[in-house]
Amino acid sequence: MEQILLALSPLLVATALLGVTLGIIWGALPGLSTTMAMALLIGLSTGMSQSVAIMFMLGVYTGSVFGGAISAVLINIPGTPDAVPTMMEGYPLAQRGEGGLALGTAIAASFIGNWVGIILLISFIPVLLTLALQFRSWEMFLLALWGIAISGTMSAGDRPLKGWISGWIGLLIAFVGLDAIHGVSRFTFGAHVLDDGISYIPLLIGLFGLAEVLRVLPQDNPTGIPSQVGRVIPPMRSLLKYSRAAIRSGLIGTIVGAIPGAGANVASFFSYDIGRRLAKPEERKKWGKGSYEAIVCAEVANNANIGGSMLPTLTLGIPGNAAAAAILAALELKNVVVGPTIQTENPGLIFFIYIGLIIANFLMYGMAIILIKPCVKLFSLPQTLILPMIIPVCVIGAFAVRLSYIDVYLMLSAGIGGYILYRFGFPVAPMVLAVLLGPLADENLRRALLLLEDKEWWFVFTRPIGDILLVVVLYTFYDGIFRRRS
Amino acid sequence: MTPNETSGTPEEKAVFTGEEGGSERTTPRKDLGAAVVIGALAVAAMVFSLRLEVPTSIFTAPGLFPFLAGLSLLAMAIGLGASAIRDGGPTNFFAASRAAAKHYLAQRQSRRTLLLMAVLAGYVLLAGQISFDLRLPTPFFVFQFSSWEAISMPVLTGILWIFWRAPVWKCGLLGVLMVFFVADIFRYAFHILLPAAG
Repeated sequence: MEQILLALSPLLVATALLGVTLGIIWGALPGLSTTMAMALLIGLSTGMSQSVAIMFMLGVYTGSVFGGAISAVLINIPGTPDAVPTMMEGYPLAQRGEGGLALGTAIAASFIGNWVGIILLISFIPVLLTLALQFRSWEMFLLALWGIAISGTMSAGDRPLKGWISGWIGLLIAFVGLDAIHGVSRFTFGAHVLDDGISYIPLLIGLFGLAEVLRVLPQDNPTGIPSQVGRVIPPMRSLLKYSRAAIRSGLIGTIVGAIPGAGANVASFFSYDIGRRLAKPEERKKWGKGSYEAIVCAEVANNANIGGSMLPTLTLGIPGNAAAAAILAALELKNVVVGPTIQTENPGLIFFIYIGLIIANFLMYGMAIILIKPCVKLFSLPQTLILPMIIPVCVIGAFAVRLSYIDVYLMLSAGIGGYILYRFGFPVAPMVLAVLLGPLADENLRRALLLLEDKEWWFVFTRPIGDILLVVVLYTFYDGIFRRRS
Repeated sequence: MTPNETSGTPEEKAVFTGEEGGSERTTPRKDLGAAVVIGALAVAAMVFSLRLEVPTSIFTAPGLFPFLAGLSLLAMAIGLGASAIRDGGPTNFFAASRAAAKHYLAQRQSRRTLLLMAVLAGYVLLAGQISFDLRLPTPFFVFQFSSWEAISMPVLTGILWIFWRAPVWKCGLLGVLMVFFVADIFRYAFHILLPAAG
């Protein structure tokens, strides 16, 4: 109750409103992704109190996931990658003069999607926390390893090997600095500035902020001319017609969100594809030419993904996607340790996050309707004007985390490195996840091995949860190598 | 059915290839080059891991997991290299790589990217070297102006001028306003120190 009252305080509601507004505008601007917004805002959150920072980040997360739909429907350019299915269906509708209705459907679907994600988050957190408390060092090591591996698989699509390589390079980066058990300096080559290790926040800012600027700013692609929006009436009633698709998509979005590395992009495409296969024949004919059901499938899924991504983030300390990794970073900056002991170490925090997500969802619904027309005006601004503004934010954001200029150099290197990785077709999300999970995996592997030192080798197989996780890890690699090859 | 598969008419417009995709940007030759670099990195990681001291048991050795990670990365690099060789990566490797590099540099967008990288590197290096902080008390607040702002303003103006291609005065005005806006939000609204000075 205390957390509910705290979250409903005018300051925090206003913070969430600011976050949602910025998120919607950010998401609506082509080329600016949700992860980029989250990464850049970590620096800003260092100057906020814990509750304000959490509300702000949740607001931005909720707003930016929806925001991508606005430009997707109106100007045929997805604001965020997960809005591509919405673009494929919404733009033909906009051309027929139904842009407002298409956006109204997207808003309502996003609202429903967020609710499904929040409800499933609230339902499954106690179960996952109970399970997570059974995890020992061996299980935590396997879980971290699986997180990196599955992130590689989900990010790289048909070339999982490249995703894994990106993750393993991230692991090597994570080893830089003093090791946690003996305090031995690893891979620092005598540079004491590296003794504290490499923070993943400048990496996140560089890989998702600066690398994106390097990729998009030099392009010569003028932004399209905005269409007329028309009347926006969120058709909640018509959603009843698509309620089955909405529930199914919500489940897909939440489950996909809970898998590390699989974000809103996977969720919306997966749900869109399943929806097309299960649609009634007369509805199916409309897919690709402007289907409201398709918009519902995509938007419900990518918004339900938010709640799903918070599940492993809060219970296991393993982010569901790169945007959730940014929330994790913001929490860590406030000395909040997430994971199995979150309830005992930070009592009430989970409830605060639930309420934060619910408030952000209501605000998103209202602000989405209000902001559609102003967003259309923003589309007339060229990216070459907007993207340079991100550069100083990247610099200050990287510096603000530890007040160390080394982090700015690191951010620059990560930005250039991220661009090179992009050119060579390597995904970057597994790298960030590996830098985050590397120390966890390293410490837990060595602890587990120490416990097993004077036991028989088969003792490792006497723990059922560990056995299941081992099978899951091995299957992830097997699936990536053999099934995808065939 | 995985999310990576494509199906039906709608996907003809946009093919989904994973959360980040990437296979469309690569070639067997690029993969072969990447495999060599990654393989070298993996070997270096293994060598440096073996050189780390072992304070107590081998099971808690600081180099244990880095060595295993290096070893598995080497295996992955070999896998990537093998697949690149199978797809014809080594055919005229050096000549084709030179041609690809020439083609990359011939593109206007690539040259602009390299220019932007150089400008950003120069900007970050310069902002890290120069440090001053001016404080001018006014009746209402202390106006601050740091070396970071002094360096960021002309750099941002230059970037706007190169990429936005508007008149210099417009780029300059926007550059100054953008830097003041960002700096003041961090400094006054959130009390976050700025690089170099504060």
